[in-house]
Amino acid sequence: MNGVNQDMLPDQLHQALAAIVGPDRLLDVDNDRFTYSYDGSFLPLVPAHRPDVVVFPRDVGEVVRIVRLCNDHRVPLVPRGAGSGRTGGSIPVNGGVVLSLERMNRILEIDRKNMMALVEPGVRTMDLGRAVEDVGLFYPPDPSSWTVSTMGGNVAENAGGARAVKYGVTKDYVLGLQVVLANGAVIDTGGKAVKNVTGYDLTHLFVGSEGTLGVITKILVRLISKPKAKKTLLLMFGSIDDASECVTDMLSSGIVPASAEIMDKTSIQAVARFRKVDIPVEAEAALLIDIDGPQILLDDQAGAVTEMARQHQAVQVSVAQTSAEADELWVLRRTMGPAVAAIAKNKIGEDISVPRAALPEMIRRLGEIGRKHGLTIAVFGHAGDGNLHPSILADLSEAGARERVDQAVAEVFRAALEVGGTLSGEHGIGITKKPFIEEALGKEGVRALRAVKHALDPNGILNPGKIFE
Amino acid sequence: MSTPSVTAPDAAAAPRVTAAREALLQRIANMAGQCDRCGSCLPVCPLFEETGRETASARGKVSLVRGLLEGAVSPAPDLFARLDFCLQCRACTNACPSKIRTDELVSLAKGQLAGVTGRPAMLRAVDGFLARPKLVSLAGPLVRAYARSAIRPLAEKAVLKPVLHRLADVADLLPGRRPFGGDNGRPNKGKTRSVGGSDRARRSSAVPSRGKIRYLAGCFVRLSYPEVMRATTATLRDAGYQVVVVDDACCGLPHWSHGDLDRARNMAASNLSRLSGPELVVTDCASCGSALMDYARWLAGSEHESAAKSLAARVRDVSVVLASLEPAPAAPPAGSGSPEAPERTKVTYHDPCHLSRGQGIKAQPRQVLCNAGYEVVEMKGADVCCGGSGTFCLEYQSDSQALLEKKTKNILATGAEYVVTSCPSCLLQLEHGMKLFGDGKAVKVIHLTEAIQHSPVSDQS
Ligand SMILES: Cc1cc2nc3c(=O)[nH]c(=O)nc-3n(C[C@H](O)[C@H](O)[C@H](O)COP(=O)(O)OP(=O)(O)OC[C@H]3O[C@@H](n4cnc5c(N)ncnc54)[C@H](O)[C@@H]3O)c2cc1C
Ligand code: SF4
Ligand code: SF4
Repeated sequence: MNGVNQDMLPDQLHQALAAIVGPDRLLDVDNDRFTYSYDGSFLPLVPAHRPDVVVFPRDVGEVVRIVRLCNDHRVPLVPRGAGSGRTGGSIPVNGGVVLSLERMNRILEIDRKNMMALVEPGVRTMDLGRAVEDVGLFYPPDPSSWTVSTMGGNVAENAGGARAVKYGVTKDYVLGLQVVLANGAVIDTGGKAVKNVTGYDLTHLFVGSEGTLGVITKILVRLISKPKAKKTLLLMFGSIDDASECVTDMLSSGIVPASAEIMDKTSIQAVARFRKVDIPVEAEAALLIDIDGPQILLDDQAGAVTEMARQHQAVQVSVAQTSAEADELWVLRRTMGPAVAAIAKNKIGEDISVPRAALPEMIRRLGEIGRKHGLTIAVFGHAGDGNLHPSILADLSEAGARERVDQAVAEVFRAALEVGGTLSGEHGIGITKKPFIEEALGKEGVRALRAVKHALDPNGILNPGKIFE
Repeated sequence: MSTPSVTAPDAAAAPRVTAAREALLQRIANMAGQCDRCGSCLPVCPLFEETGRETASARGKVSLVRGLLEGAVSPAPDLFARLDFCLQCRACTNACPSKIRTDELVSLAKGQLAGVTGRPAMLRAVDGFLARPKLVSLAGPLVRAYARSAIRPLAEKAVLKPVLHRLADVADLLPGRRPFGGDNGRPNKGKTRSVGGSDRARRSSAVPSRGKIRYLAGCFVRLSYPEVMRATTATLRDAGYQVVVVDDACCGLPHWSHGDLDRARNMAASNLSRLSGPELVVTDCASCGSALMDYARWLAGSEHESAAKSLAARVRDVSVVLASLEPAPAAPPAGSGSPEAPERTKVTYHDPCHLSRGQGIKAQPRQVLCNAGYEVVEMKGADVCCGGSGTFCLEYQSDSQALLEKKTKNILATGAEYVVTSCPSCLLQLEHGMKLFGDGKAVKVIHLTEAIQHSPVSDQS
């Protein structure tokens, strides 16, 4: 049982947890537990990793008592937000307790003077985004899953999003956290002071920790002023190379779009099965560009983007005329991952990140890897910051398919590392990328991670089996 | 993401796998295999939002079905209940990148499971009753009389209580006194009295003749709201149609959604021949309308599929028919908004799931209400399920009422005089909501065609 030696029977565990949260905020029936055995990753449903119990605490006090119980009895404890993670982070591979933070979902404070918000971990990203926009402020991180993903999950995965090219990712906005450690102690890191060098930067140690170092129970984020205006453009290209070179040249020429998303024809067609999308016959790829800022500067910027597109042989340039049209284009992009998944029996979706300048090279290599193994690799992603989601499409029940896919995946990671990139831009390591972490960080790098883990969670109860063995 | 392989969950318990069953399993597997577990369906599912349980959401149900097919989930009796806990409101489908029809998947899977674990007695009883249109027509007046009578409270207090306990729940849900009268003991005022066409139609010789149209009066309308049936007939006649009322059919949706698939298919097939011909088929029940439009999916692969498609092309919700006609010249009243303009009657519109998402219709009912001279004020979450959903409100009372309470609050907040809708199941549920949560300020609940029949414009003329 992977370092954890549970000394409590399921019945006793159930009773002890019921004493903390009551019978209504606890699930232990087989079929209920089954639905907490998966997340948004492509890991198969079978064999199912059912937790023994799912609990829904309402406040930090309850979290502390649950964590202590688990620590005392060596019960694996897996924090969970919405289960939209793409790498298996919230899957209880060793059973134990799934600690769902979904019901700790209050926005505690929007401090307009200091431009900050304090939230509980179960607040959905979009709900925070909407709430602060209502008062003229802006929380930029916008993972494509933002309608469902929680702030706790975003912090634990250091989620990115389309706006990262201009505004950065979750870690750039987290100022402080309340964390329940494995021994049940509660610590507050960071704070409202913008400058803060009091000891190690513990706040950022927990950002991206994937539930393995502590349970995040409060999050303080920085807000900025809402951009005055926004324009959305859709550029179509005759080849994906033209599209990727256009992005790279655009950025190096000083144009900073709020988002620059790339998508190939396979990905666009996947979405077009369910939504109306006009695709010119000669188009092989598209860029979805957002520019924002003061109204007077937008037309100039749009002109510059269009000019750049022309230089890269764009076959069509269209500008959303209304905000409804812009929203529709963004829905197209946000639903792309799941829509691509639905066109093949199996989709193995990846999340590589490369230096911007290496983007065209990386995309060429993806094409080569696909051709070599006779596999379709659909490509879409946050091109503006070099973060791509190549999706290998296959039917794993076919003879030899599994081997070809495994080889292709390994080659994709290797190519990413070779061009100076890494194997996860924003989805984390979880279970699915564990086999590759040593190649990415080196032996000593992984040893350092382990040392941190051991110092904070000596019994190894927090989300065991993730990131590294 | 892998498509489940098709195996019978429990070879010993499962009946002999026939070709039809195999085809059903394959269809279920294909639908479930489309799911990416992205979770986009979670925040929009009213039941997930209410309970916070993954099993209530589409992702939960789709995964349970896949788990069943792949052998990770056993067909324990509670599985049927997990799948059955669904409003079939399609909010999930709307949000789903792959437009997975969880409502249909749930029906199919319940049908599959029924062969293994059986179906709850209550569902069997309801389905058996509704499959007998004559019985429905006979029972209507009796049940309504009971629901509205003075005997009821006595009967329920007395010795009959234990026996009537379930019936009392049902009766509680039945319509009480309705705003424009009907079968509730008060006379029907004015225009809706005769099915033979309204005063307005007779008054106006200018109404063009638009030919024959068929109006399918579904079970729910016949059982609970004959006054709506009359209002719809009159409205269509006023518009110049020669109305042929079809009142001996059940669309089969209750059976379909309870997993009684074979019976639903038989009913659909017999309705196909009953409704064959070139005329439009009009419905005033959103659920009937969406069911008729779905027959081609129910009967996919059978010899009836093409007939079902051609029927779907001829089915219209009554609001669509009315909206396609020229707006009445008197509406909206000229100079509205200016200080002297007469106050228009305020109404708010509740979108039935089976109309807004089931048939993609949201604008037409509002347009029709505006044309009829009403001021339409939007409520918050107009297209969120009211929690009625056929027998759901009986099976899962507390969850149903939690949704209903929110809906009722949103209706009251508009300050409207009437809440208008287009589905008898919603009518019933909303009326119940006013009784439970109306705080004495009850807004009157009416069907769209009742609103037309009693429109301020025609009252002035
Ligand atoms: C369609 C789709 C699009 C996506 N697009 C993006 C994208 O653009 N950018 C991006 O970065 N990601 C994206 N993701 C991935 C995913 O949505 C993010 O990783 C998100 O942050 C996960 O949030 P969650 O609430 O679902 O967390 P979960 O999946 O429940 O958990 C994720 C991890 O966080 C841990 N965790 C959760 N809450 C806490 C807490 N309170 N304390 C400690 N640990 C915790 C869990 O243990 C787990 O390891 C996408 C996913 C999908 C399905
Ligand atoms: S939205 Fe669709 S694809 Fe996504 S989890 Fe729900 S049912 Fe599955
Ligand atoms: S049909 Fe409605 S109740 Fe059923 S899963 Fe979908 S959203 Fe939830």
